[in-house]
Amino acid sequence: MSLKLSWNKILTYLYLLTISTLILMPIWWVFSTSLRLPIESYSLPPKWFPTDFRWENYYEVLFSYYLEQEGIFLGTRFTANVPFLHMLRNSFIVTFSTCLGQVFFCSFAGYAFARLEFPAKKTLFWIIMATMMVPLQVTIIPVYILITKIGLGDSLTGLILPAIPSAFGAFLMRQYYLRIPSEMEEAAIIDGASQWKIFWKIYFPLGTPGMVVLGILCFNFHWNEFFRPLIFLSTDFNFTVPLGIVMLRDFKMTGSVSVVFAGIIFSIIPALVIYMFGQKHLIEGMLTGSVKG
Amino acid sequence: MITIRSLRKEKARLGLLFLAPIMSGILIFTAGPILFSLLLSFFYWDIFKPMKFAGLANYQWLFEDEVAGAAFKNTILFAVATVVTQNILGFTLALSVRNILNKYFRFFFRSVFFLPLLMSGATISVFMAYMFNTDFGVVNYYLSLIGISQIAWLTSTQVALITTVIIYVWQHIGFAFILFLGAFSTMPQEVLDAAKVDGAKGLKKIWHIYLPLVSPTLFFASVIGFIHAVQVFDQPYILTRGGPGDSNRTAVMLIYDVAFQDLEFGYGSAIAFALFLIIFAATLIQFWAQKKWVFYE
Repeated sequence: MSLKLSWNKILTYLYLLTISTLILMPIWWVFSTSLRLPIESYSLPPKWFPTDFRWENYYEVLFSYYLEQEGIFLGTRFTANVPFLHMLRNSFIVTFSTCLGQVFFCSFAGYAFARLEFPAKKTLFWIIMATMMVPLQVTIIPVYILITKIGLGDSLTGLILPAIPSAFGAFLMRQYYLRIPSEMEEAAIIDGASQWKIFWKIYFPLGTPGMVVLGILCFNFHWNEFFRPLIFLSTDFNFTVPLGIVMLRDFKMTGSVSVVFAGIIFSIIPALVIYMFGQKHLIEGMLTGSVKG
Repeated sequence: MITIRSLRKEKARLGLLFLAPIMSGILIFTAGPILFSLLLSFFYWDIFKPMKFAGLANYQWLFEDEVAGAAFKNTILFAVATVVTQNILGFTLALSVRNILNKYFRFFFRSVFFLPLLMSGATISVFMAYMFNTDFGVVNYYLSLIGISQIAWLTSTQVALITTVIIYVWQHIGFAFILFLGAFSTMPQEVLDAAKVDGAKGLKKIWHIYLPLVSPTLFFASVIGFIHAVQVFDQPYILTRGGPGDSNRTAVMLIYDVAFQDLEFGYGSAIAFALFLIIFAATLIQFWAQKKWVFYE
């Protein structure tokens, strides 16, 4: 009995370790390759530990575009086609504006659905729920035409604006506001507080956990987003990081893969930071409404 | 003096005010476009020339177009393959992690399985393409060590879609895993105790106790996983641009090519609606089955 049990345990650990290794190895390989010399970046058998620690790869992917404008040439040169700093900045702008907008406006909408009574509430709620089911691909053509017609084509605003009214976000916030007990509201009414004050002073602050969950999910989605930026943006100065990574790869030709991987590491870092602080919230959000991609 | 009536009025006013931004946004950027897209699917349009009524021609073409046929076949195959693999991995991994008593190990494994979900499909595809390179790739190097000759992971029409499945599953393991882990943690203790008394063990226990208990989750994970997977774009686009041939072309790639490369917005919308119908059907099945055959306590 005890022998069989321990075998069970060994197999369990073996299985978990195998899958973990398969997940971690590629990421580790990307990191250690990002620190290699250009000449060694393709070496086989693969080296699993960085030997050269060429941090210049990171420097090169960030600055070579700008330095070449000044007449300073770095390393493998192909990165001189990719204004990567711009792309990092763009990604931050798009992600933060979208998420801030979502958190704010979805709190309003979620509160209205959870706590307020108004005409056609049920109908409006079902319209929102129904749009949640429709995939992005169905609306992308009209939205692309729309933002082009109003002069927002190839701009960050054109990427941000349509992403703010999130049906999923409104639904998520509604769930959070429903959880908050209504006794406080009753007490506040007796004290003569206005409805706005009740929201702003009592419920809005209490909705913070929901906002954190929504914010993190939103960050994760828009930081990594590829499909919409690919369609909406056409000038490289307006590109976001995922487009930049693909652009780096396309320009690489015979250059160093290490530099491309340095760019990849830059794109992963913000996600990692969010991950360390918000893993719990992220899991919670995914469990609450695993509807969004 | 507060009256019920004035309170109700105030609530209604604030409610409509609060809803206005999101609601108008959804009307402009989601609901409106859905209707416009539906309309567009019955027209020929390339933005430059005026719209021309096409009747059902776009939908008819969808059935005759061989590229579209291949794309939808690939999409369904891809979705089914990823859903099955993800669920098997997610279920077994969650079961294994559940058996581990050490808190820190549990946290470690959970974090690892979850990690790739935070990275972008685009970025993952870029470095995976290097790993799966036929001649210089790490994967083929290790396979050659155990005597498997070079596989053309991304350049063979037979293998490209499978490679995409592998890469997609690698990224999404954590999703099903987390769902199952949640389901296991809410299993009713009485049932588990009863099973113990009855002497249920090993595979039998998994098959007759665990699996039925988490069947709603299994179903939910399958449908949501399916809905996500039929919308795949980043991976096949970056890995092979849909090739070789059409072997890695998916429905969304088709929309991208037709609408944004060839500027056939009408046909593009028709393809988008065909995809939507598939997703809609999956959603309906989910709603229906939730009530029907899935076990609830």
